[in-house]
Amino acid sequence: MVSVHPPGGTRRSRWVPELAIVSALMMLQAALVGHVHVVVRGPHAPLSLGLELAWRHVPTGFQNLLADTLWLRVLQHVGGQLGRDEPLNVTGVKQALDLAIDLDPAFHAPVEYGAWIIADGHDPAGALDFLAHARRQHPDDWLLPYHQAFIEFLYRKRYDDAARLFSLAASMPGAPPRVMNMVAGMYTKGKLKDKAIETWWGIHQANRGPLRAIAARNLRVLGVAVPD
Amino acid sequence: MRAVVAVAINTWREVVRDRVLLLLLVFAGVVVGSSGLMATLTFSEERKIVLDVALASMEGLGVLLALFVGGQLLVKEIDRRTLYVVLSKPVSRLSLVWGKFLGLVMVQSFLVAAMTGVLGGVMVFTGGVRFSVLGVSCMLVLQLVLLAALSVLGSAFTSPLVTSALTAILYVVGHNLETLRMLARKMVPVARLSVEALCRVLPDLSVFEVKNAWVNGVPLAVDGMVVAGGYAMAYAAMCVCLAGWLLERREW
Repeated sequence: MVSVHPPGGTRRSRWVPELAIVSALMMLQAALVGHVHVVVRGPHAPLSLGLELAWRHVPTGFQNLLADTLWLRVLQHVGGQLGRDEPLNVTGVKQALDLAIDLDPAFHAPVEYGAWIIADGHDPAGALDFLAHARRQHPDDWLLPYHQAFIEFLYRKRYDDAARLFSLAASMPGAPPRVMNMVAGMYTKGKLKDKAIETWWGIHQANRGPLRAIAARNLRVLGVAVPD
Repeated sequence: MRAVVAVAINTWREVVRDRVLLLLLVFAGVVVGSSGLMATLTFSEERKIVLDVALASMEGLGVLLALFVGGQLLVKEIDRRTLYVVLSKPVSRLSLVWGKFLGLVMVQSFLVAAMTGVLGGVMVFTGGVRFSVLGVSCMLVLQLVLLAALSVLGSAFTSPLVTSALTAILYVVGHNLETLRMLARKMVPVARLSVEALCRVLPDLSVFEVKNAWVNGVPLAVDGMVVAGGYAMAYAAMCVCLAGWLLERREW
């Protein structure tokens, strides 16, 4: 039997504990820098990306983690501003969210909530652009044009565009029938009475139960006689 | 073969004596800590973020191990002159290299298995265990096997620092071969051919990258895992044999 003794006798390398200590110190330093950044520049300072921008071009297998980090940074950035009187500063947020969904296209949270954060920061055009980016990644997801439509409706008051986007969402797989109610509602709000009546009639004819009753009520409001 | 096993077991002891298993504590701290933190830092997809942090930590710690321990394995023997003692016994230089490599692979496999156990424990409390995490761990081990082989190859002809740097560069480049190929298409023909040839020689580590998709619910492809396994074994064997050949030619 070959016998090979471990080299080095009792001498032991100490690099592993040192590595652990250095890692812990680096994490502490990173946390402090984040804190100092907020204290020095204030919670309303823009969210600035530096080295992160290069991540898109250098995949190392850590894309999901990097996307999570960006999402958490956005949440801390926005959360730090809540409860203050000043308006929400979302400068840099769209860039961070664009990067996050590029790194991890399946990450739902930034898409679902991020667009609303951007829109709340008085940048509905940026929110729509961000959702358009997400739609290029997920062309079959009906929720994306649905969110776009709501932003057109609530922030930009462009009812015709909102109706078009709701209509697109309604035509996509998985969309519930009630989305068509939003289309008709947008035409009503946009004072496009003929289109509104046409859409409510379509809903009335195609459905039974509560949706049909809602369509009938709206048609009566628009002056159309609907049999009971 | 007995010589290889003996060297491998001693390498295991040597690496464990370096308190490498403390990395397990670091990992457990990161995973358990992050699972608690995520509940306060985010309001959705906590489980996804915990899994991302855990799997990235597993890979990060495994890569660190391959870079720093793998790069030192042979050099330490040479520096401490213990190599002479080993080679005075019926142990060929090739057996020594294979033993060192297998010892490192044993440590890496043990660490990944233990970290997977910790992750499984955390998954129980964050929405249930997905047993396919074992497949992700296997792919990670394969990637680490390849990196260990590259480290051992580097340590056969250069210093630990250079070996670690080279392995780290190969790790990044290995995940970016597709980008490199894309750039090559925009180059002049000679440069394009050179880069394309380089891409065929360099290790393609992107084939082991399944964790990001798995976290997002994409099932693992068994045939892809088998091919990746064969690729890792063949590439690692080639590197270790090359390291043995370099060591055979070396004189002290």
